[in-house]
Amino acid sequence: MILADLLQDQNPWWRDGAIRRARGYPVRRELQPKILQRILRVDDRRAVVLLGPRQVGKTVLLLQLADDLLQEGWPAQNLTYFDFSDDRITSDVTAREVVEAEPVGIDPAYPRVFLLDEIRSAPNWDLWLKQAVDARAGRIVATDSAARLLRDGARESGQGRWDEIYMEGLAFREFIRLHGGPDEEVETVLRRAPNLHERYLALGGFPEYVLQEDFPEVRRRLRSDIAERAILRDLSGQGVDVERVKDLFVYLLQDSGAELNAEARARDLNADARSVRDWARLLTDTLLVSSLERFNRNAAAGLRSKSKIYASDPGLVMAFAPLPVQDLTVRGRVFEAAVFRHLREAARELEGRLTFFRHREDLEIDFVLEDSRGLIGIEVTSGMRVRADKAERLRQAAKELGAARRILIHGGVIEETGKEVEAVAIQRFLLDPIACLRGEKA
Amino acid sequence: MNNEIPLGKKEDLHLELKGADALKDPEKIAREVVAMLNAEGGEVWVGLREEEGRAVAVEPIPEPEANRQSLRDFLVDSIEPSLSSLEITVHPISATTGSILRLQVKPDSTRRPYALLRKGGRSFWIRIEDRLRLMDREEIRRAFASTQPSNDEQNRAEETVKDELKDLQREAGGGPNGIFWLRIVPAPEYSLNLDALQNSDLLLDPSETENRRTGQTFFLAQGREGGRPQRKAGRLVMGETDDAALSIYRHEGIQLRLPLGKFHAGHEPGAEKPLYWLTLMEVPISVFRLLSKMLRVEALWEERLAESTWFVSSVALFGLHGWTLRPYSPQLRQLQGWWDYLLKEPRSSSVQDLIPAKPLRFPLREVQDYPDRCGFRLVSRIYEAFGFGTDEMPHEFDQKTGRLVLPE
Repeated sequence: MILADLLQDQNPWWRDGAIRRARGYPVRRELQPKILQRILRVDDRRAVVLLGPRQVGKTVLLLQLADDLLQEGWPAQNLTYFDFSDDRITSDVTAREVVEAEPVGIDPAYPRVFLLDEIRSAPNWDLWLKQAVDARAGRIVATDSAARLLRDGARESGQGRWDEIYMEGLAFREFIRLHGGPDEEVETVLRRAPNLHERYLALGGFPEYVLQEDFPEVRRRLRSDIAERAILRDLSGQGVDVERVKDLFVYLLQDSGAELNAEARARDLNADARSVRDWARLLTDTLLVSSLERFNRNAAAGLRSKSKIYASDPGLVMAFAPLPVQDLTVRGRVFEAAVFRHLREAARELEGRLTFFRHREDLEIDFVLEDSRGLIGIEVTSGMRVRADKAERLRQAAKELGAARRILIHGGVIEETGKEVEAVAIQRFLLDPIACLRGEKA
Repeated sequence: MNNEIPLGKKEDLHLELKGADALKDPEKIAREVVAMLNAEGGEVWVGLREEEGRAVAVEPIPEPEANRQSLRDFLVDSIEPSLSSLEITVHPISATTGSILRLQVKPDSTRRPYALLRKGGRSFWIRIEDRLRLMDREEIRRAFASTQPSNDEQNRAEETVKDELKDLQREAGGGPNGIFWLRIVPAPEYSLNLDALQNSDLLLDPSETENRRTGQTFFLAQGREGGRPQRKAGRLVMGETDDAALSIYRHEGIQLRLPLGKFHAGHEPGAEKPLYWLTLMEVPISVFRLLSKMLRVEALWEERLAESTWFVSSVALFGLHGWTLRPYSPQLRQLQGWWDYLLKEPRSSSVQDLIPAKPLRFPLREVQDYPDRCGFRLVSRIYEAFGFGTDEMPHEFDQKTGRLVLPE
């Protein structure tokens, strides 16, 4: 298929300005209006590079941006969407070629907007993007599902030229919105369906599946889509044994929240520890797993210590669980993955650093947030009640850490502030993590 | 060949085989049905030849629909108490050479003993393994005694349910806000230790009562903030408002009240206010699962529960105007199921307020051992009000095992 035809097909609004490609997806992600505002700001020439794992809704977000711009009256010919991972592409297409393929009827009074999906598939994309931003080629939003996009020198090119925005699976608030009617408030939906957090924990934040009732089927599809596509397909060009990388991926998900023991995994996979560490890094690049460093006041020592690796979304823990999903160990891992997902986003917003804390191998805190206000120790338990011994251990560990605040997120519904420990129900935390971190009362 | 037909299977406590000729003497079939009703229920197949108690060949029945109707009429007329569609169903089943009849027999233990009316008299049959025999005098006496709470207790519990229904009807007053109401009243009254219940996890974690954490359960009453169930005069209450609350009384059972809005199925083509089949099925069953669990935890009771305790229960829906219901369910695992489901015409309720005339009664043992079956029987009344039979209810309730099976 030649590029011009592909562009015509992917940009149906060029032939009919009334066409909207995201009409079936009325609910917007919380990021979406922020990116839209960025595009509409005339004085900001920087591009946006949107990074997120597969299936979190990056493509839909781009198509919604297109719809919203058209709705705002943006000239249809000034809007170009292109998916570089389109299976119909038979030879490399560069970003430059896409930009140069101008439709007839561009309105010179408006800048062109380029919505470029899976940009990593375009050769030398970073060089082009640097030049395109410098030459004020238009507003550019690009997406990709691999964090390595920003390594290997690309990060340097991007300084001042583009902003990296991370897009995770749905946050709990967004999950609720997808369950609501048009314009229905989050609070109203929760009144109607107060156990939505349990559904969120069971299904995770992959938008395609959030309205499904058949949980086992969702897990089967996640396993096949993620393992087959994200791992086997995306990593096949990396010169690694993808089958063993996939096995490592399954190990990491089944042991979500554990420190990576490269030596033990190497034995399991019949590989050497260095390869395992490299593969783990590759997997972290897919954004399907996220690593968490150990807290250390000496940054260099922190880098030397082992990191914990978590599933980036609670749905992945459920999908790959080797035990029945009702098992308490699985539930504990799901809780931690869900909390970590929300903490990552909160830490980015608060410009804080997220780590875990361990003291003398017997005192531990799951998460430590360090920002301009100080240190907060955050422990997670899936128990329905706050156990006094758990709260006491958190208090002791936080004392060693020097954390001013201690938050114990639990699976129940009762919120009680005990001795120097704030008990927060998981639903409230997931609903507004920043308010909880700032100590605002429900 | 239809693989439901039990060819090759042997007669047992739950299976009786009859040749096509049996239709010439329907009383023989009725006797088998009565015997099953007084035992554990099962299936009677008419049109299967048996040899040494094993089904060996299909004997097609001429005019299966006419014969089905006439057999059903005979059974209804000749068995006491008169059978409902919950207790007996007769279906023609297609085989390669023609149709035969399957009778599904599901006894209601509260209505035993069942009798065959014959020449002005009654005969009480019971099935023992693959045979039947007449019940003796003592068996009949025990069956009556175990199924009938004393009149006073029965009347008191029923009056409680009916009085509350009247109050609710006055309150609802045909207004626009729909109400779902479910009530279970024990007969005689019991003494529940509310402190022990409050300190247990039964009202904190749905899985403690064998309910789904992700399910549409009585936890719908919990509301946005959740929180610990609160003690109020003589009861424990979970819920944020009077409109949405689960009340567990020290002496008088359980009441669940929810806004009908919680039963909205979301968008369904061709239905303005569709009731969600899953919520309709799961909410009542979840309440019976809670009660079943409570009955099994000795520490929750101030006094040992009498084995002869009964529960009188009813469900009511107020303000059904505009609400619709589709039969069956979308069969969660099949995309095709969705289309089939949506092609079924949604029906409106024939009444504004669904108030069953007579509450149902369940013995303690049935609530304890078969909570899903109890809940299902209440839900079937809702489906009945929309003109659906039990065979048109969602198949997620497995009528053979008496369990509601939903994916977790």
